[in-house]
Amino acid sequence: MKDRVVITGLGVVSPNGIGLKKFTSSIMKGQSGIRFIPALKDLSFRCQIGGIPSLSEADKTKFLHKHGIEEVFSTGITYGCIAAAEAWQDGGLPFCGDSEDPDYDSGCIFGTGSNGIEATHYGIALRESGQDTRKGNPKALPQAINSAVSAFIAKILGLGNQVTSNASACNTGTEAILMAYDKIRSQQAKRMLVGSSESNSPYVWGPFDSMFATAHGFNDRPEKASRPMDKDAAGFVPSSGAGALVVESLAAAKKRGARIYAEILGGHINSGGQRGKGTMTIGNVNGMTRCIKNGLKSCGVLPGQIDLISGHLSSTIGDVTEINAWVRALKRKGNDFPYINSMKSMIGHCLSASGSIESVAAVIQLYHGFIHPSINADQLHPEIAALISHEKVPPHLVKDVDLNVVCKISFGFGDVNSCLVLKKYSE
Amino acid sequence: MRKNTRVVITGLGVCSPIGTGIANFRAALIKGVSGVRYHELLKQQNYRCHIGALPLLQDGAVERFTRDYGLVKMKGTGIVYGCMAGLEAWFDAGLELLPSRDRQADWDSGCIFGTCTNGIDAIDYGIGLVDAGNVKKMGGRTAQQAMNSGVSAYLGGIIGIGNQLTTNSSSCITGLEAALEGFNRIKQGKAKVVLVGSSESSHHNVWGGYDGMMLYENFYALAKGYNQDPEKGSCPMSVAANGLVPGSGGGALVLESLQSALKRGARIYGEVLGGSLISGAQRNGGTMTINNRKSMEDVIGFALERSAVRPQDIDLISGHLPSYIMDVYEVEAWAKALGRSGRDFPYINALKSMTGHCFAASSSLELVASALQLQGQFIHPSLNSEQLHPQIAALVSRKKIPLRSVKKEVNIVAKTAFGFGDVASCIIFKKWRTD
Repeated sequence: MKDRVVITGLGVVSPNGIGLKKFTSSIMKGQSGIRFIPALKDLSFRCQIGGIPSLSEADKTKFLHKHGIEEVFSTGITYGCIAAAEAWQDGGLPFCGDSEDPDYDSGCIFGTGSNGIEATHYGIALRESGQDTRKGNPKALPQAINSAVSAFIAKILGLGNQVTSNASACNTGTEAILMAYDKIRSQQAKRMLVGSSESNSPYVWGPFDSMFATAHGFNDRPEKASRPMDKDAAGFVPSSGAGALVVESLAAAKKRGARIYAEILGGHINSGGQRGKGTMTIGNVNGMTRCIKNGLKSCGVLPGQIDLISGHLSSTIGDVTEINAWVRALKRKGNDFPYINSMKSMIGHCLSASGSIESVAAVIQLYHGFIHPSINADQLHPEIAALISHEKVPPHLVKDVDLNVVCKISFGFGDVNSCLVLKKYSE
Repeated sequence: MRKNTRVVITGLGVCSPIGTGIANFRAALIKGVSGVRYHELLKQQNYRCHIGALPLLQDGAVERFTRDYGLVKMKGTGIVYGCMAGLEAWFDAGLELLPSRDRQADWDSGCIFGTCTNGIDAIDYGIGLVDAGNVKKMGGRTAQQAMNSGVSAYLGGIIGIGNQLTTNSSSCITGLEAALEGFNRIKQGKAKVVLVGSSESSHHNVWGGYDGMMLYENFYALAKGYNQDPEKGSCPMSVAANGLVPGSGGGALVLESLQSALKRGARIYGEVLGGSLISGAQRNGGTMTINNRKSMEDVIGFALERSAVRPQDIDLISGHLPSYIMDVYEVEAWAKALGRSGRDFPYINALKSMTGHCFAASSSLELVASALQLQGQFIHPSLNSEQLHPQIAALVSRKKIPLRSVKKEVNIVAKTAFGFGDVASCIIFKKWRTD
């Protein structure tokens, strides 16, 4: 009999709140974390707004010092480590001492799309200055490797099982959770710290700006720019941050008397193959539909059982494709469609970090029994309005709702998809 | 895990400093050639180490390849190497590309293709434009090359991958990790075929990072004093080993369920028995750049246990062996984990003696070499190991570290890889018998 898998710890560094408490209150209020960013204007970006977690220099320094990783200067690695340490502590787990043996039962899958960028830039600048490369800071350079974030997390927590970083563009965070679920189900680990993070840097956002993927026309109204499902949605708002979760076997969680936030029932990871209408940058609706169907099939959940969808919904034309995929997969529409909301309406698109931050939000809603507002969806895009009732996209907080099953979906460049099925925990 | 699902290797592909394409690579392995060269550019850029190993590619090969597959404006060398190796492996396995007119992807085939720094070429390009206020000139094809998962995303589109499509990254164990992740996915019945591998860009900024990096106190990472004698620079297990030689390239394997391979009558290079992925958590002597020695030993034990292989069954160790003090630590870990030494120690060899250290690509190149040795029943040489490090000579008989290729019966190969972040890995391959 395969063990059940549960979530026992959460941590988050989001543009609208750092730490679970602040984040929970922000998402209940529908608070936007999107701001005008003068540096982007100076660099002649088309889109001059974004989401950056308001981490103070003092808090950052204190955190890095406490964990003996003062050399970290990449924002993505910093966000990732802070979220991971919060999740671990929230899960009631001990930090393994420096002289102790690694914990071979606990591992880490923590993804990123571009965390090394600050270190890469540092190395390039050093090279271009024509200086001796050895004049540089030797501890800066290992941060350029993609897996640096998971390596630092493992050091802080003392993790001895698999320690790695996955990357599948904006699908990364949700994929990491499902990969950890597989590790635990197949008894290769008892517990995995999972999540993802993304650096805040114009070098990360620049390529998206140049390909016309980011929001245009909202530089003077930053909080209105991210408007998933709305008829005026005009591109995603780039942002940054990190989300982290402790995923654990039910037996291990029970043994140590851990609080259980939710159960992971199953899910599915696939790709649309860049076939049909899918391309490198646009998802194939067949792949998405299949991902949802197989995610439900993997755990025997029926379409009618879904209470809430935490969408990918990035405020682009992809929103229409996504709603189509859900309607096709669930055969539910209009008033019969489940509630659906978009975390990106408040915090923009945290790219690789999005799947994990949004999964943290999904778990919080499931556990506390509320549905956060999906802001700025003032008038649904006509093709979306033709499929689902506007009432299913709450503009305000829905309190005291009995949520039993929540689905989280993410998509990414490369035509990749993942769908996670979460359930309220019961014996 | 489904105990009855077996996983086999049915395709290989390689883009390496000693040869691109399986036939060239096999010939170079048997011959024992070095792919390490002197690079004037590295000198001009004020690096200390001026030697490195770039993939051997014919003039125009990259241009032809990118044109054939419609890869417009490719900047990422690592992405191209990965696609070249990946597609070679795919075709080598007798598989086909899904027609572009198809609306459904190939749902049973996945791809896990890792890298450490493939985006660097595109990032460097992007940084230049952003700094100059020219972000608009970057164009629509930079984001997908700058992102870590660029290589898997390109491969997925060319092939039509419909199962999991992702990029893993765990520094120098990346390729081995990709193989074990693919193995797990097939074993769990979630995919029939998974294309696995890894690649690394040959951008000078990748190597520059290592040039200025200290692995431990006052020890810089790259080989010292070999600028005039590049082919001697990578000398794993030798007393003269004093740093790694940077390299680049890509390696790929098609892993497949035995059932699927037999059904389509595929050629089988070998069977994957299992393995282990752990971390030393940067405790007990382990740091970001040096491994915890206890975990180096433990990972071998875990891999044997998972694969149900006894220490005495191992015929050949394909080492990580990067050409510095880690070589000694690794041989000690093997001797302890297996309880074997002297003439009883298995054969051991280091591909890095020929290719340098291709970072993320290294372990997939070494897995391709392992599969070829299993299939061809030979053991490739470890160049430049004439004078063994005394602590290695004390543990392993000279005969077990061949200086020239030898024909031998090889039934089981064990491959280790270690990496920054104190990560350790080991995988076990077995010869395939048709009878």
